[in-house]
Amino acid sequence: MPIITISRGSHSMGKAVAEKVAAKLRYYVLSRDLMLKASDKFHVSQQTLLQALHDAPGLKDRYKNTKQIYIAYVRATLLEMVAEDNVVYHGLAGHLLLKGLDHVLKIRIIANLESRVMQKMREEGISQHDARAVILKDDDQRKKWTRKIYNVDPTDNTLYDMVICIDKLSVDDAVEFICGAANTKSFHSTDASLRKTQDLSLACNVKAALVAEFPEVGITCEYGNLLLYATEKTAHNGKFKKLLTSLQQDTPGIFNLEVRSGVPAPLDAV
Amino acid sequence: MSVLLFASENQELEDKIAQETATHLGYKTLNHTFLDEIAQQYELDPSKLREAMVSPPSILRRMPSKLWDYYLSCVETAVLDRLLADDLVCWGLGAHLYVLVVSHVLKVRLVGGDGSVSMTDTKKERRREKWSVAAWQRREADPRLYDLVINLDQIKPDEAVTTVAATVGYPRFKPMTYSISNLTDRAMAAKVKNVLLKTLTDIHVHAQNGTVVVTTSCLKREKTKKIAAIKEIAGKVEGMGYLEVHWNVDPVNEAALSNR
Repeated sequence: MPIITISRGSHSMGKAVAEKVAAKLRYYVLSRDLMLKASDKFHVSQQTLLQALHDAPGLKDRYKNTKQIYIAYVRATLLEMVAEDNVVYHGLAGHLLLKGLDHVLKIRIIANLESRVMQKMREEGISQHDARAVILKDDDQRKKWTRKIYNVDPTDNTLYDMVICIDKLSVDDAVEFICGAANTKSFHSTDASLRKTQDLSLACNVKAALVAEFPEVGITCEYGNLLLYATEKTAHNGKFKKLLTSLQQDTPGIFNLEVRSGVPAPLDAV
Repeated sequence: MSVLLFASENQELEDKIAQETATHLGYKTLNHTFLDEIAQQYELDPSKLREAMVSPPSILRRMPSKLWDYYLSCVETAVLDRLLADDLVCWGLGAHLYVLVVSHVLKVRLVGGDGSVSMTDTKKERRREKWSVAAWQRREADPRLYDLVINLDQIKPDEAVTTVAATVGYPRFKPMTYSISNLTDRAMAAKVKNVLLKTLTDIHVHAQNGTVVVTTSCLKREKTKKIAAIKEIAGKVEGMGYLEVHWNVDPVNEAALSNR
C-alpha cells in the first residue's frame, strides 16, 4: 500500500485530514514522532531539528552546512520509518524528503487566508492582526526554505499528485479523494518500489553518517550497491576511508561500496 | 445543476478528460470551438480572437491593448452568459480566471501527464502566465484559483474523470439562489463592460444584486462628458437595474496638462 504525505500551510486543516485518512485506511500517522526518533538516533535536540526543517537558512547556515546536516538526519529517519508502508506523514516537507519513490501519494491541502486566520484566532485566542502576521510569516519561511534547500516553489502544483482546496470542499471530501487515490493501482507498492525505498533508506543513512564532515559527497544505491561520488581530495582522505570501512561493517544491507572521484554525482544522488 | 471548469497546459489531455467527464455526467460542453461563434456574434476577426486568447497585447502583432481588452471582454461576456444555463463542462475559454466565488462552479486544474517537463513547456508556461496576469491579473498556475488540482503523471485520466464526476455531484455544488445571483451579477458586469469598451477605455465594472458600479478615470475637464457617455451607453443594456458611475482623476495626464 502507498505512503501518503500531506503537505499544508499552518491551520489549513491538514492535520485533521491526515488523521481521518489514517483512521479510514488503518494507516499509521507520522508527524512529530519523526523528530523524536531522529533526535534519539542522532543526539540532536528536537527543537534544533524542527527549526532546520521549518526556518529558512540564514547566513550562518550558509557557511556551516547545519541545515544540510539536520535535514540528512531527518530524511534518514523518515525513510526508515516509512519503509514498512501504510503511513500517513503530515509533517514538514514530506513530498521533498521522499522524492524519488513511486508509491508515495503526495497531497497538498490549501485553504484561503481568511479561514486560516479565523482558525488561528479560535485556537490561540489572539487578535486577527496577530494571527494574520503569524500565518504570513510562517508561509514566507516555508517558501524560502523550499526555495533555498530544494530550489522549488512549494506552491508549484506539479510537486503534488493532488492539491485540494478545502474552502468549498470539506475535510471529509478531502479524505474521500485521498483514500480513493490511495486505493488506485498507480500508488500500490510493488517489489521494485519497496526495493527502491530500502535502497534510498540505505543511501540516506550513509549520507547522515558522512554529512557532518563530508557534506559534498553524493550517494546512490541500487540493490544494496552503494556508489559514493566524492572529490579527489575527499576520496584520498584517511578519515573518509576509515569511516567507509566502519560503515560497511556496521550497516546491515550494504552489499558493496564503491567510491567514484572526479565524476559529478547524478541528479538523484542524496 | 452544476458547472464544471477545467484548466490545463496540456490541451490534448484537457480535451479528453473534459469531454469524458461531460459524457459521464450527461452535461453539455463549452470549449474553444465556441470562439468561432463569439467571433460571429460580435463581428470579430476569428484568427485575431484566437490570438488574443493565447498572447498578451502586442503592437508588433497588430493587437493593441485596447482591442485586446475588447476581444477578451467579448469572450468573457459570451461565456458567462452561457454558464448561466448550468449543466455545463467548460474549458479552453479562460473561465477559471473570471468565474470566482460562485459556489456551484467546480474548478479543476490538470497538470502533468506528458512526461518530463521540457524547456518549451517552461517557456509556454511563462507565456501563459504573462497572458493570464495581463488579462485578469491572476496567475493561471496559482492553486488557490481551483478547488482541485490533479497531477496526471501517476493518476490515470479515467480515475481523474471518476473523481471529478463524483465531486461535482456533492450537494455543495448544486446551484443556490445566492450562487446563481453571484453568477448573474458577474454576467451583467461583463455585459456592461463589453458595451463600454467598444468606445471607451479605462473601465472597471462591478455588479451586486443588480446594482452596477462603473469606475473610470479621466481628466477633470472630461469628467461630465465621460460620465454622461457611460450612463447613456450602459443604460441601454438589457436587464440593467441601478447604475452608479464612480470617477477618479487621471493623475498622469492631469499633471502633464497642468505643466503645459
